[in-house]
Amino acid sequence: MQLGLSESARFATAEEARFRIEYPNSSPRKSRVIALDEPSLGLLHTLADMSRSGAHFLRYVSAKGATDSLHMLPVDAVLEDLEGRTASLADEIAEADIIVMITTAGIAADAAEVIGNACFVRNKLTTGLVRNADGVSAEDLARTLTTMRPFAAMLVISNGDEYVGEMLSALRV
Amino acid sequence: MLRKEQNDLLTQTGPGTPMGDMFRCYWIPALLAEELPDNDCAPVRVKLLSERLLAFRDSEGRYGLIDEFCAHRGVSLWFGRNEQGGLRCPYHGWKYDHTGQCTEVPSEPKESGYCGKIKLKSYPLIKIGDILWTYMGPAEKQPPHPEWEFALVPSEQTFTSKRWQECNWLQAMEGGIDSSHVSWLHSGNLNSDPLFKGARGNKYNMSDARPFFEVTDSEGGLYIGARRNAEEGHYYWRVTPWVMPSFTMVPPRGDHPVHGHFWIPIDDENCWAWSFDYHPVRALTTEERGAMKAGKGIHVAYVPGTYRPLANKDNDYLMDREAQRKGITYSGVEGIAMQDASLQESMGPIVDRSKENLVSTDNGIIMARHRLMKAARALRDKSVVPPGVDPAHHRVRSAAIVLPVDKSYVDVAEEALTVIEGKAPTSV
Repeated sequence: MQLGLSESARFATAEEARFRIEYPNSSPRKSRVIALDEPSLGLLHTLADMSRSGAHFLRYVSAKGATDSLHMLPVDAVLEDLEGRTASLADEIAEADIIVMITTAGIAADAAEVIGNACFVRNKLTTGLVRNADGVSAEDLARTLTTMRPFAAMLVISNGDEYVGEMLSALRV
Repeated sequence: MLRKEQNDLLTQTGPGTPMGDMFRCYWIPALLAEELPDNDCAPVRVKLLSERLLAFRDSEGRYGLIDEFCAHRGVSLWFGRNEQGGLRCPYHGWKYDHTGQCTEVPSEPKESGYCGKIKLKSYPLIKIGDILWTYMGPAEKQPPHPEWEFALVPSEQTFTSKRWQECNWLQAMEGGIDSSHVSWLHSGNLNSDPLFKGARGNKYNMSDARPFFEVTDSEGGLYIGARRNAEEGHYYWRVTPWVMPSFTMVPPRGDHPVHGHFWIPIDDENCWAWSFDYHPVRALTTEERGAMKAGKGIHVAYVPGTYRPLANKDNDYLMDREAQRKGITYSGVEGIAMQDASLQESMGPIVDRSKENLVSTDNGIIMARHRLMKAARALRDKSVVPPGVDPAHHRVRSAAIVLPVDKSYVDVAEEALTVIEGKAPTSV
């Protein structure tokens, strides 16, 4: 250690970086990746093959009312995993740290409203990922974004699918 | 989170590295024009992309950027005599012109033509605005000159500074596309800094510390929109353009000048943070220019005679715990630029990104890294020219705008985020 320098100067060196402790600084994430439409389902299979973290990969099937008497306020939904087993949205997001919704430009993604509402009432943030492609008109993309916008704390428009895997990896999904 | 090999790819910019080759596709800022103020003035050492160079201005006003060391015995030409159309090594009198061509080897007969066989590596150096720009790639692939608006407006409308930042370029640049830190780290400055205060948008910043984000590709890079609550039925959007590899613009505030940055690698553990302020349609006022020179806004006060910030790691950034406690500054460090730089330098020279825990609101950073890696690989494997080289990609603006909840900044991008000559910035 060099004497006579300020603490900031001493501790910002590459040499000192070697002494950063190696204990883990986070626990594994509980992640839910939900495809909102049929075209995104194929991508879901690819992502599931890449994932080693036990994230749940699900597809949206239909909305469920909060109760039989409150069916106009859908804050739950039926989901299905890649083996075809059904699951409840409410159960899936209850303990989730990261919730990612994937949809395709040009599709209205009304499911985002259901999932977004369900997450909102449980204080969960969501990430919305819109897969854009050549040939999708600006109007179609705008329609999808308008539907997603109120319900996603982070909305990403991705040209091509490779970003999706990159993002999930960066978020430790 | 990045794997080590990804981090290495992004952070290493020396000759022959993929990211270094990519930086060498662009015109990049090399020096402030004020560093070479007169013909035959003193030469200036320049280190860029891990290459030691020397800049000088000859008797005819031509700029040269050449290998720093004399081809004879390896003496630094910083000691050279800049005279009569070239730079002469004081050791044995070898002389070089602005292209690095040796023009005299006094110990050899002139007729031998020996000096014609000696040529130092050189790069073009051109003045646009307040900056001397260089292009360090293959001559046959030199792109058209840059067309950044801040460099093209009349000189009375623009001001540029630079400061030495003691860390890798990427961790510095990532601060520029991370809108969510403003409500925290810079919260003490929004209502006090003369180049920020008084804007209506500031109140939205301060009243909503948890913005929503929307990230979308642009031709040259990305647009990163941060959305905060405004009046009933409206959102306040701040939109940051990022143009590859390292240009960002901060969304404007009121009628204040608009500012932005370039982060240019000196080597892998140091970079130049270039900071500019300009107004597209009016001259900067005396007060504004004075504040910029005094280190307000995104600029800094210097250690006299250098471009090193006065508050730096050797003096613990003049940390003021009392100001931190009282909320005068949120971190205890004075000034927006050093609030950022102090934290970025504290990460170490090259931060280990395998340990980080990004959250969904960091998607701007994740996407920028993705674009950079993708472009560097495409250049390496298929010689694809990266985004941001085409001057059309330079004609971007940042924007701050209040929109109804059913509108997005994407809907008004054409008008608000593109340079339209004579049109004021879109600002709140």
